[in-house]
Amino acid sequence: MQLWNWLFDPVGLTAHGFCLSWSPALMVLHAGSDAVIALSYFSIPFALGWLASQREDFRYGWVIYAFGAFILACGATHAFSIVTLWVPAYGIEGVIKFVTAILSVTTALMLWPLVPRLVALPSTAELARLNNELRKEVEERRRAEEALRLANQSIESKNRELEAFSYSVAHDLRAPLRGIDGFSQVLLEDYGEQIDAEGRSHLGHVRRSAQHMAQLIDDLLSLARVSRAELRLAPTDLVAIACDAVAELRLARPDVAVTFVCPDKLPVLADPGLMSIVLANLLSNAWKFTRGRKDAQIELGCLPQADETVYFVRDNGVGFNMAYQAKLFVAFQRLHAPGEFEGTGIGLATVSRIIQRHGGQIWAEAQVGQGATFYFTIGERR
Amino acid sequence: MNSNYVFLVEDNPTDEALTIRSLRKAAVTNEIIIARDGEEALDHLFMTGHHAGRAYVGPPALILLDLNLPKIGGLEVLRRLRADERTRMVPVVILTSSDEEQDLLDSYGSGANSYVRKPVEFGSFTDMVHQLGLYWLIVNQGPPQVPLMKS
Repeated sequence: MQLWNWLFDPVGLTAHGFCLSWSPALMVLHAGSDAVIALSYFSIPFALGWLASQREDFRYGWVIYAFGAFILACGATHAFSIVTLWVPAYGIEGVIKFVTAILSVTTALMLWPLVPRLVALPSTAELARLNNELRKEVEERRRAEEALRLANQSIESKNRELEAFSYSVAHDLRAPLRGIDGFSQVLLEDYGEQIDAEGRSHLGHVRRSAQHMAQLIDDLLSLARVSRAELRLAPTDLVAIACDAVAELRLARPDVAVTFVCPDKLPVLADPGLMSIVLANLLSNAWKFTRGRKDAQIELGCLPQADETVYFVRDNGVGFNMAYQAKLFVAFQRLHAPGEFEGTGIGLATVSRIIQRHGGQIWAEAQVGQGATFYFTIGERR
Repeated sequence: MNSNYVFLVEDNPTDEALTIRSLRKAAVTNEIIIARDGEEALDHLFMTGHHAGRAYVGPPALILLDLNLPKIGGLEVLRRLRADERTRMVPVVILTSSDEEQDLLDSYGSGANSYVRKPVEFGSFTDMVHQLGLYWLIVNQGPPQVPLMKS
């Protein structure tokens, strides 16, 4: 009861209207103004709420709620000022003002640290500038893309030209060689008796040169082909491929006795067509360079490493000097004279290209007279 | 001219001479008729152009067709042969320098009966022609002769 009295008429004061002598004009002015202020204040939290709901980036967490509560409280003090015009409830008005004070201080305390953050927000002019920069960048990118597209087109057309070129090499460069070789043979067959031994030997050189040139063209074409052929990966057994290659080598050189050693299986994921070119080259090299050895042995195997399997082809042939190993995989580079061992110097370049295309690596170790080992990986990461 | 002839379509005179020599060495006695480009080949087979009005002698026993030919290419010649009733079934052997996968696909796709890459080494070349002559002219039985359709 005491609290009730204190709230509504603490010390027997009169209503605020009494101070205004109940002047209608003053009463209307005060009540009207307070009403308009209160209503305006009450509307502001709704405006803030609407803004916050529309703009994700405008949510400053509790500051928005605190500010809303603070404004509501301010509105309430003004609304209650209307009541005190007629009712001397200064206790309640004081309590409302006290609550408003707490909310004001809280909001102010939250607002001050926010100022630097608000200042840091980009201004409209800044945003316009950034936008402009972005637009320029987009334009630059578009131009770069266009340039790239044109470059790609030009590369494609160059590739087509290159293909047409290698096709023409295959077709047109071989035909004259056939003529040179063929008619040298025709000369030997039809006029052999009129040509002496030396002349016949010269014609033999002509034929061998033409055949060597034909081999060069074929090897170059094979190199060009493995560079542009599509990589078709499939489960492949290197041993099966190697055995086919060895069978062919035995057929081509039945006079050479070679022991071929390999495991039962070497399953890999690789392009079978290209891997057969790799093994055919490595094995025929091994075959070639063990020629003349009585205990010739060629081995295909693998060394399981921590992260990648290393495959190898090892022979006990003539080997090579490691000082020249940099030249091994370069086209047209040979470590042996043509009179010693035949070849075009393109085989290992082709092998290296295929290994590269699989994402693997190839290298060799050798010792003169002790044989050579070619190691390769094919990009299978564990 | 009888319809048992070999029709060689070859633009390179050296290859022509070597092929004829090898065929003769292989004891192929059939008449050999040469065309040096695709147009001449089609004119001969279909009696058009220079060959218009000539009496029809029937299709050849065997056509040896190069791919890379002046005027009309070998593949186009092959397609037109296969599209015509008179030459639809004549055995055609593609005889070329190319061993491009695409050429093989196109040739077989267009109806070639055989595809042979001409070797450079003359011994192998002679062997190859010998085998071709033996197989296609002696071992193999060709299609029955199609009588000329009056159009």
